[in-house]
Amino acid sequence: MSTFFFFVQLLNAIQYALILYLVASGLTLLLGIMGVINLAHGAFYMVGAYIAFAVVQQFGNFWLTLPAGILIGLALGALIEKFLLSRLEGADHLSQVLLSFGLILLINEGQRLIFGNDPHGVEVPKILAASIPLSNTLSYPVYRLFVCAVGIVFIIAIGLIMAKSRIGMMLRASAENRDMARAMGIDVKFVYLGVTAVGIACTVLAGVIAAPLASVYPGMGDQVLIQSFVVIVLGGIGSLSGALVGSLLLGLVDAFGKQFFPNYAAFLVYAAMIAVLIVRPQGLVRSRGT
Amino acid sequence: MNARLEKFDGAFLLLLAVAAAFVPFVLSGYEIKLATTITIQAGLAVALGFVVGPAGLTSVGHAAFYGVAAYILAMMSPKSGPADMLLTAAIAIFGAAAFALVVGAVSIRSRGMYFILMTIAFGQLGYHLFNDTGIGGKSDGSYVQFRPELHLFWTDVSFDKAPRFYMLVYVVVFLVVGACWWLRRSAFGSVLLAARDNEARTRAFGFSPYVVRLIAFVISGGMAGAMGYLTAAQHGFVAPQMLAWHASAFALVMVLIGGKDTTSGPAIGAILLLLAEEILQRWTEHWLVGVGLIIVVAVIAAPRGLVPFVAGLFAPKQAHHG
Amino acid sequence: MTALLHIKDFSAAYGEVPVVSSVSLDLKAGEIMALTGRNGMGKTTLLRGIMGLTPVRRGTMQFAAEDIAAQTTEMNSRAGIAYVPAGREIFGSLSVRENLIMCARGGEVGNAWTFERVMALFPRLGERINHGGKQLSGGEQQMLAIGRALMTNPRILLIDEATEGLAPLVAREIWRTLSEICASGMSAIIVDRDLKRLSRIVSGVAVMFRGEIAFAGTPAALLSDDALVRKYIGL
Repeated sequence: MSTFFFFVQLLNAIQYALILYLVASGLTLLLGIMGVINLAHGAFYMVGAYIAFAVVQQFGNFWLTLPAGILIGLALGALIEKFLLSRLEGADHLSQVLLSFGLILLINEGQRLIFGNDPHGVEVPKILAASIPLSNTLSYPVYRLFVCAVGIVFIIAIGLIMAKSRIGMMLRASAENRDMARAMGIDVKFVYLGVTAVGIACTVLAGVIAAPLASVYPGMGDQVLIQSFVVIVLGGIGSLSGALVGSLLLGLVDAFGKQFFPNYAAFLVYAAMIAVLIVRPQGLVRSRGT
Repeated sequence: MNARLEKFDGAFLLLLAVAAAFVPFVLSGYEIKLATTITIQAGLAVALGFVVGPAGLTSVGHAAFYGVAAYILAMMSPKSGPADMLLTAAIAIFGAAAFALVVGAVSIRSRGMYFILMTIAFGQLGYHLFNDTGIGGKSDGSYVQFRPELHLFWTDVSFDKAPRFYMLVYVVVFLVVGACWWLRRSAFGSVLLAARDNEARTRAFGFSPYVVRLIAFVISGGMAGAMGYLTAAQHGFVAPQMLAWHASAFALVMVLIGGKDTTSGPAIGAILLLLAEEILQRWTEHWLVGVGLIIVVAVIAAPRGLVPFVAGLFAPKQAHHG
Repeated sequence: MTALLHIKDFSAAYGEVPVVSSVSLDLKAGEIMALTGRNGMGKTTLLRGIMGLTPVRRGTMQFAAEDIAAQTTEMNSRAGIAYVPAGREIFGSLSVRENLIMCARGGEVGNAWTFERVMALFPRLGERINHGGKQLSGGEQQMLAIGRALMTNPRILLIDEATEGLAPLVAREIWRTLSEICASGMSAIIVDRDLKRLSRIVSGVAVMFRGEIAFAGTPAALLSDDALVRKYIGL
């Protein structure tokens, strides 16, 4: 393996890790702050990709897809919390698992209804369509660097919000001790609404920016869902920094696993999750919100 | 479980058993095949309900045990003639139970959402085992060319005719449901409930909650295997999707719709969900939208399930407190 | 003058077991009341009931002439009730500074509790301002829990087990600050077993016994009756 090839794989690993982090951070916040296990998270990722496809097809402008994805994601999340999740308060994981399973069926079938079963492509915007030559045979697409940039901006933004802002403090307080947070005047219901809306918007955004990287197809969120759960188990529930480490690890496993064991890449991911839980049955460090 | 719910549960089971016994005499052709499918799924749901309810284990991986047993039959079936039913069924059920023992031994140490993730991971591992590797015909699945035959002392019993196969399914599911009914009421069932509701007290009585749960998980896994075996025998075909977590979630939906705290509930859930699917499928190609809606509404409106809901309708007013 | 806090026939239960039954209590603005009694007699449940953390089974509860029995906890907090729970329950994943500024809510101009004023009240917290909540000693946690409650600029403080489990020197520090807070015009209900210290800052005392108020009167009247003290408090 040449140095350049290794370098390209490493970049791919990082780029995939950043997309995974966008998905996993929403998932881990939902779990850490609200205790909600959302198996439909992968389906929202697919929703994002189809939003990108539909917007580019309709308006021919990639840049519209970003605000469209964020707004639709926020709205979806708010509606789901307001009309579904808030009614499950005090219910067990079984209800959450099945509610999100019902949502998966609705979203998947809705997608088939509107877009059909054929995979679609989303064109890379012209300004990012170039490639940077690395050697005579290898080059690196600029769009992938753009994805990395979005991911890094997101990491910094959410990190700052959680660590420095009052909203971040309120989120951490609500995750740690719901009753005391309420006794201090925090409207926990509103916090939950915000967390669900933002958590789902992050995932939709991940789907939007991932759309031009590969094709847009039914069930494209399944793998991302399971991988982001592995990320959370690795990083600890509710921990954003843990999710970042977990995402990078999984990005490496995914990129290099596909090179060395093309048939067993999916295997490796599940085996990793099982291995972690065998060693630590209750997950790794259970820190929240930092 | 209170006495009224227990009475309703028993009455529903009796009603189901009697009604199901009439199927081969009343229905014919496609309808018997549908009834066979529904009866098998009811057995799977009851077996799963036994770990979700009394054992308090939300397994999202039961389809793996169901699917493994189906694959064992497919791999043991000769191309030239029917397999020996007793032998293949014994190995399939034993295989499913052994798989459940491995999965349970590792997963039951985790609680809550970690247990859920663990069972999903094992189920998906099973799915990829058959989907990605050469075992069992990859994603195309594999065929059971001939339905297994039962070798009795003096004769071979074939189940090629739909009514006779239905009777076989009826007897097996009846045994499984009866066993779950009896287990819930046995001393073992009480210990299981105690382990779910008050772990410390169970320990004080000298039982290990881990071991008790694991036993329930293995029994249920073996039962799920029996249902997978019957499904493979019925359709003559197995596919990796039988093991995937979506299949497990479908079985969980049946448990939830009927009520996890009863034996009859999951069976009723299976009947209602599959009948709804059947009707929706005739009506639209996008029938899964309807199923998704049913699930969402059921989770929100009746999270305890239909049987406890019906039993509650007949409750005296004061009994609602506490 | 109407009471700031008016409770009549308040009952609360955990499942079928009644924990507080038919408690009536009035607290005027600026009044400090002691709530005492043995463990498990319902003091914590009563405070949690006022805060809205334990649902009211029966009875009326009014704060500043508003009905609060059906209000959520966060609404009660915004109406001006602050709670210092027995286990302190500070946010361990937040630093001391974050614990305080997260809870900040404006108050009366000139008399508002601000970050600086809380720092002045508890100089020891100032030394540990960037430490995580988990790293604090019991006394520091109690200071932080009180400071955090003050940051919401409440009209009434509910303090459960003010000095339980604290070293005598630290307990003395807490009592000093409590009397300072009370002198500022704050209303409060303080739960503690130290009747002597309590009697110096409170004007009334209520004793709970098996979920009911068994005695209500002045601290002097309670302390002068040894039989009462032995029966209900067991010193």
